Order: sequence, then structure tokens, then C-alpha cells
Amino acid sequence: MLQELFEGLLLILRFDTLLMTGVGLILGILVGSLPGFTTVMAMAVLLPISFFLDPLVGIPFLVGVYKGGIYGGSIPAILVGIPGTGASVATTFDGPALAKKGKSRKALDMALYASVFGDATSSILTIFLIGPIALIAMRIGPPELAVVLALSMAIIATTASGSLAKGMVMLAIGMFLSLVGQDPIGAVNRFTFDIFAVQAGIDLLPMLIGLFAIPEILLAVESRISAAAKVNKPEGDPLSWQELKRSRRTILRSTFMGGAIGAIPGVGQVVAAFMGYAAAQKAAPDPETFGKGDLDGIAAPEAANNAVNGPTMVPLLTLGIPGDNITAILLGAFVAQGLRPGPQLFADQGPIVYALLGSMVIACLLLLVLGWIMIPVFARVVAIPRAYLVPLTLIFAVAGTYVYRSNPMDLVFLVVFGLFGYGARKLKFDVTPLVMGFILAPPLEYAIGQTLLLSQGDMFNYIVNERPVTLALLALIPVLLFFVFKNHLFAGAKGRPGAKPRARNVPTKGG
Amino acid sequence: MKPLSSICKSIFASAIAVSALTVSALAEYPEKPVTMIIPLGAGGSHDLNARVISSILPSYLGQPVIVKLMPGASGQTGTAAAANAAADGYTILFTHNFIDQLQQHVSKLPYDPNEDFVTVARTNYAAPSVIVKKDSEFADIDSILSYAKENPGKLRFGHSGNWGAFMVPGAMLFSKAGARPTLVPHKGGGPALQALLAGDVDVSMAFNSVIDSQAENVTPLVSVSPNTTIEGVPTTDEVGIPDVGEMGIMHRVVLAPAGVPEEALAKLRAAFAEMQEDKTYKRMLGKLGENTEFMDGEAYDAVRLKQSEEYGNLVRNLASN
Amino acid sequence: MLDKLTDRMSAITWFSLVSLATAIAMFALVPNQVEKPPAIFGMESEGLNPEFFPHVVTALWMLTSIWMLVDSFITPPKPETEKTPQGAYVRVLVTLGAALAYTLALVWLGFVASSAVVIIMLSLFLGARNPFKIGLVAIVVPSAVFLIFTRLLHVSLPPFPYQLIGG
Repeated sequence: MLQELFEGLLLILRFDTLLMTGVGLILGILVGSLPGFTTVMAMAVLLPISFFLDPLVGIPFLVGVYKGGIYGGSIPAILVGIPGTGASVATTFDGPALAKKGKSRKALDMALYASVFGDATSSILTIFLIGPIALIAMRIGPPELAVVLALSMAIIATTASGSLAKGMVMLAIGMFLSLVGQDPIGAVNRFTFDIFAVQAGIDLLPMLIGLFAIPEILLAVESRISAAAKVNKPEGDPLSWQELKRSRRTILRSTFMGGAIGAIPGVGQVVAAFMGYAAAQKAAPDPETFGKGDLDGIAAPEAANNAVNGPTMVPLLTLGIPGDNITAILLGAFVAQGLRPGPQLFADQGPIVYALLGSMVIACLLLLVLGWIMIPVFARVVAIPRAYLVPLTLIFAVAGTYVYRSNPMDLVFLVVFGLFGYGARKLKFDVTPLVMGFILAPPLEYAIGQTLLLSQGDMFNYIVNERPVTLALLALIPVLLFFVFKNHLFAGAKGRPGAKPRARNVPTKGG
Repeated sequence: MKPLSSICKSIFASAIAVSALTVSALAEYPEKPVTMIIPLGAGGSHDLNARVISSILPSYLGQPVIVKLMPGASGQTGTAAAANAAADGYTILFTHNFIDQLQQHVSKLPYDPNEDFVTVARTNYAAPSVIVKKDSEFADIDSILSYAKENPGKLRFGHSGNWGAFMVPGAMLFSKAGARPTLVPHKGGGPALQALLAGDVDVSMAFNSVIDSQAENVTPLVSVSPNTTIEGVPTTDEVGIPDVGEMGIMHRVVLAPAGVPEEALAKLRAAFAEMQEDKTYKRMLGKLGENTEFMDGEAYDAVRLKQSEEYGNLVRNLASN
Repeated sequence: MLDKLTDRMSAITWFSLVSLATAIAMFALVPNQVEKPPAIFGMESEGLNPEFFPHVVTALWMLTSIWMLVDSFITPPKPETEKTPQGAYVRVLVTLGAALAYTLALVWLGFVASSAVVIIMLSLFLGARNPFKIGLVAIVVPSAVFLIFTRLLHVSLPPFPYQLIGG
């Protein structure tokens, strides 16, 4: 295997491959930093270009777009609080706060280093653990996924800041909102109140931009904007080595959590980012600084959501099965190049597979260099006077919401969620559980529905006899509940701490 | 590198074409970009087909083509938007037959597919085959059907989503044979294939490009297609199940709102027909694993009427037995 | 201080009550708002009933709302730490109003025109006074966004003027 790995690396260490990877990264960063443009859209638009390139150039090019797009999504999240995707939501908790403190340069640097470390580490681990990860991926079917999803929701709701009751209400509201529209299994209408425009359901993007970006805009206009006091360097200094070193534990923890979550198909970056954030906050000596501009609050979600990337490639490479839209596009690119991912490709052309895995690591390293060059430019955004930045943020928030699926109804949702998000900030509600409930409820219902069909009416015997992994996961629940509630009991015994947020508890494994 | 530069050129040329656009007194269709609505999400096979079309079609139409993704409500959202758009030839819909003709039988629609649209072209089609795992106890389609007949509900058929490209031909096949499997939905072809490989379901469906790449793992038993698509694998007609082959394949079609001016429709149809001869177009679709079996608009309009009837029967049959 | 506490308490209490009322209403509406699935092969009873999840979720919503209601009486609210600046709500309401008007005007006026209007109005409201800069930001940015989005990235934004540019 080392022999093949080495051969593979030799295949991609050539000038045109590196050049096109770099071009892909730059395009990915630029498109990904536009709100409303997901990495998937950037890849779909650029896929045809890869058809005309050599396989060992075209696919690294797309890998570059992929990595660049994910990093690009964190840029508006940090600078103006617009999360482009669910994966960068947790980055908006501390990003804008840091930008306000004049530390946007540091925040962007931290996001870059954490992303690159998380991604590169998980890609390298994936290269060596590809067999075991493939085995895990095969063992996760609908019943296992249902348990994991339910657990994730419970963990996020109980670790949200504020009281447990508030978190649970938000979770329930989020789950309810996800019911609106056509049901995921049979496509029958639910809670549409006979309005056709609502049949398409509520989309995640207007919800995210509404809940996180609009309140940021409204909070910015709360205080009178004075004739801009000239600050010499509003974006602040670059991240120092000391600051990076201080976050090393957070980055490491998030990387392993993200990698573990990535090995479970169907859970994904969003969960990893939130879990990473919650775990970092729990472990921090000063959890109250989270959400108010803590660099760890950037490092945690960014390392975690990028660490998901490595293992998600495994089902594609070993089985030829794309787990999500991104890997589906990569599959398209493989097929277009005459390569058919799957066990056969591995056996026949091992070096090529390793070359492609290696190109993921190389893309990360190139991202580091390119990010270095581009960050100072992006960071200048905060130098725009607020009187212009606020309306421009609004323009991008609205345009980003609209382009995603051109549904005017989404704009109404955007404003309603904006108002809700602003009110929630004022009442000290954490809307994270709402988003998690919204994202995770449909796949949970889907998985339960599938399990029911697979079991053919006898769920109990089916799980006991045929799904040992589900049983093991179910056995974990009481253990996790004990940890979560132990904290609550202690908190109750000591009397609720006043201004200090509750201690948090998150298992270090992704559930 | 030459084709790459030609793509880039077409992208930039379209940008320039727009900025240099002037209103001419002798305005002839098309005088501004054409919007192509896709009622499905980003990254799916339909999106990828559309990206190819939107980069090649402009050279035959003389105007850029803008892709407008409008997923939601099983494709109804985008279709309704196209139905409501002005019938001026500047809005077209790129859809497939199951959204187009099946939704009317399972849902209340704010439009009537047969009244509100005319066909511009069928760009290509994809024919699925019934597959089982290599080590499956079923060696041919007959044994599957007879097992499903004798043990109602015991056979697990995994498909890629309700009323989608595998569920409809699968349901047609089993219902014509009088067999009753349990239909297990999955979120797309990938998860459905994984379920088959993991042994969660007994039988599934796949398109040829997937079957090729999984030759080690899966065996195709019968192709839902009017003619042979895989060497040595019979079609549904050949195993004695008529009509499924014609009605169960997925057609990718371009529709325009009804009432579109004759001249505009003719221009559009001509542009799509000419595009079929384009080498780059053929090559790119070939790379996606798609065929370029073109059918002109008028011919496909007749197919649509038949689909409407057949799918109506299917849904009624499924609901009654 | 004390009336501030009661203020905070009542806000959460009120929120719980509204939340509870909505949850009860939605729970009651489940049979009315969830369509019946078509039977497939006459075996719909084996699949997950589409009413099941709505019932579970709305029930969870009701229970947690009650929990929060009780909690809002028991737990003493945290003292207010951030104070809202003077006139804040006027500025927030104006901005929100502008956002709403913008989203409603977007499809009718087109992206470029409606964005230009909203940028001019909001930036003036927020204290920008340089007409040259305002004009530059209001015209150049929306036009550039429009061209990049629709022409290079092939996605659609509402055009203006519709007849000229197309969608």
C-alpha cells in the first residue's frame, strides 16, 4: 500500500495539476464566499470544465473548488454574520463579534488554519483507515441512522446556552417547522394551509440567513452610527503563533469529532460544527467568553466541519456510492474521465485512487498558501463604513436567499425569521436547537419510515435479530443521558448560577 | 486545452453579448437571454445535463441560457413557476416525464401539464434495469416475481424516492405482473444502491453507468427499456411484461408554456435539433454517461399524452389492489 | 431593578403562553392539515403514517412549552446586562421595514433597481452623506452582483428592466 501511495503522490506532483488545483481553490473561495452559493452549486457550474482536462488535473481541480468553496463559506459568516450553509452557522456565533472587536483578520486566519488542519488531518487519516471506515459506512443503515440523529438532536438541545426548557422548546419549534410542506417519504402535504407556495416547505437558507444575519444587521443599527471614527487598521493584526497554540486542543478535539461524525453517512458537517463548538465551550476554562468573540469559537466549528470531508469520500471511492451531492458531482467527474470508483478501481488502479486522496491533502496545503494571500483583501471588508456595510449586507442576504431556488416566498420567510431571531436574541434564546431540529427531523422521520418498512411490521424482532449496531447505539443512550443530567442535577443542587451559563456536557465522540 | 478555452469563450461571449445588447427595431426572437427552469436541486443528474445544455445551446440560439433551479414539492414548484411565466419563449422548463406527467395523478396541481405546456424537445432518456446483489438467491426476474406473488409484502424493493425514476417503473413492473413487494424509499440512487449492497433490500434498480461500475457487486436481470441496453440482459418486453419498457424510462424533456408564439417555438425546436449535431455536446453528455437519443417536440407530445393515461392507470391500480 | 425583573419574567412567560397555544392549535389541526397518503399495493398500514411525526412533534412542543412556562416562574431571570441604546427600536423598525419593502419590491422592480433604492435610503438613514459614494455603492454593487450571478454563474435574479435584459 505504501508503494501505491508513493506512486500515487508522484502522479500528482506536477505543475499543471498544482496549477489547476490552485485555480479551482480560488474559484471555489470566490463563489463560496457569495451568500446563497453553496459548494455544490460552485461545483455543478464548474464541472463541465473538468471534462476537458486530464483526469489527474480535472479531478484535483474540482477537489480545489470543493475545498475552496467550503472555506469561502466561512468568510461572510465571520465578517458580516451571513452563514452561507448550515456548516458555517456555528462560525457566526463568534465571527461577527470578533470582527466588531477589530479582530476580523485574526478570525479569518484562525478559520483558515483550523479548516486546513482539520481537513488535512482527516484526509491523511482516511488514506490509512480507508478499509475500516468503509466497513463502518456499510453497517450504518436506516435504524442506526435514526438512533444517531435522535441522539444528536438531544445533545444539541441540552447543550444550548440558556435554560434546558428554552432549548427543548426551540428544538420542538424547529422540528415542527420542518414538517411544513411535503412529507419526505410519501410527498403528502402537511401544514400547507392550502397555499401552493408553502408546499415546497421552508428552506434552510432563508431560515439561516434570517435567524443569524438579519439580527446581526438589526443589532448593528441599534446604536447611533457616528461619523466613522477613522481607525487605522480596522481589520486588526494577523493571528499570532501564541494565539494559534492556545487553540491547539480545541482544533485537535474538533478534528477527531468531525472525523468520527464523517464516518457515519448522513449526519454531516452541520452536526459536526455544532458538536465541535459545544464541546470546546464545555472544555474551556472560561465558557462565558464563547459567543462574545472567542477565537476558540472559530477554531472549533471550522476544524470540525472540515474534518468531515475525508471520511465522506470513502463510500464514493470504495463502493462507488455517493453519499451526498458533493460526492455525487465528484462521481460524475470520475465517470466522465472513464474512471469508475468502486472496489474494481481500487484493485486495478490503486495509485490513481491514492493520487486523488493525496490531491485532497495537497489542495489543503495550497489553500493555506492562497488563503494567506487572499485574507488581507477579504478582511478589508470591515473597513467599509457601517452606513454602507449594513445596506450591502442586506442586499447580499436577500440576493443569497433568492438565488438558491428563486422562490419569492423564501424572502417572506427570511424577514419573518429575521424578526424571530432578533426577538430571540433579546429574550436570550439560543436558536441553535431550532436549526438542529429543523435540519435533523426530516432525515429522522425518513429513517424511521424506512426502518418500519424494512422490518415489515415487526420492528422489535428486526432490530434485536438483524441490527446489532442499533442495539449497541441504543445501549449508549442511558450512558449519555446520565452524563447530561448529572450536570443538571449538580447545577440544581448548587442553585442555578446567575449570569454564568450552565456547564455543558458533550461526549467527545460524535454519538 | 482547446475545448476548455472554447467553454470559457462561450461564457465570456455570453457576458459580452448581454452588455452589448441593443434593442433593434427589427427585433426577432430571441432578443434577450432565455431562462431555463429546472424543478430539481443543484448537483443532481438533471442539473448536470442542464449545465451542458446551457453552455452549448447559446451558440445555436444566439442568446445566453440562464439556469434557474427551483426545487421543491416534488418538482411542482418549478413547474408551476414555468406554467405561470409569460408564454413568450423566454422561459422554458427542463424536466422529466415523472414530474411532468405523473404528479397530476398523485397531487392537486395549480396547473394542467397537458394544457399548459408544449414540448420543445426530448434531449435524451435513461433506461433503468432491475438489479440484485451478486450473491442473491434470485437468478432471474421470474423468480423474483413469483416470490413476490407467493409472499405478498415479503420482497423488499428499494427505490430512489416516491414517484421517482425507479419507483414508477418498479411499481409498473410489479403491478403488471400481479406481484406485491414492499416499496422502500431512499433519498436518491446512491443510498438505494448502498441499501442493496448492505442487504437491507432484496432488489433495486440502477442506470447503466452505475451497473457498469458495480459489475463486481450487482447483476442486472431485466432492463426497463423498449430496446436492449445491456448485452445479454432481456428487456421487459422480452420477458413478457409489455408497455413498461416504453412508459418506465426517464425522458429528459424541455417544455415551453402553451401559447408560446409559433415563431419562437420553431426557433427553440430548431436550436435544440441543431445542438444534437454538436460534437462538444455529444462528447460532454457521453462523459456524463448519458445518451443523446433526441426526439423532436411534436413526436414527444404524442408520447406525453400516452404517459398521462398510463400513469393515471398505474396510480389507480396501485391504490385499488 | 425590580420592575425590570418582572418585565423579563413576563416576556418569557408570554412567549411560553403563545408557544403553548400555537402548539395546541397545531396538534388539533394535524388530522385536518395532513393529507391521506395514497395506498400503494394496498399496504399503506406498514409504512410510517404521515400523521405520526406531526403528532409526536406537536405533543413535544406542548410539553416543552408547559415546562418553559413553569420554569419562567421558578427561575429568577438574569439581571439585564446590556442596555439598549436610545432610539434603537426606531432604527431597528425602520431597517426591518426597509428589508420587508425590499423583499416585496425585488420581484416587481428587479434586483438592480430595488437594491439601488434600498441602498440609497438605508445608507442616508444610517448617516452616509457623500452623494458620490452613495451613488457609486448603490449602482455599481447591485449591477456587478447581477452580472456575476446571472451571466457568469448562470443563476437567476429578478431582472430590470425586464423587457431588456431578460431573466
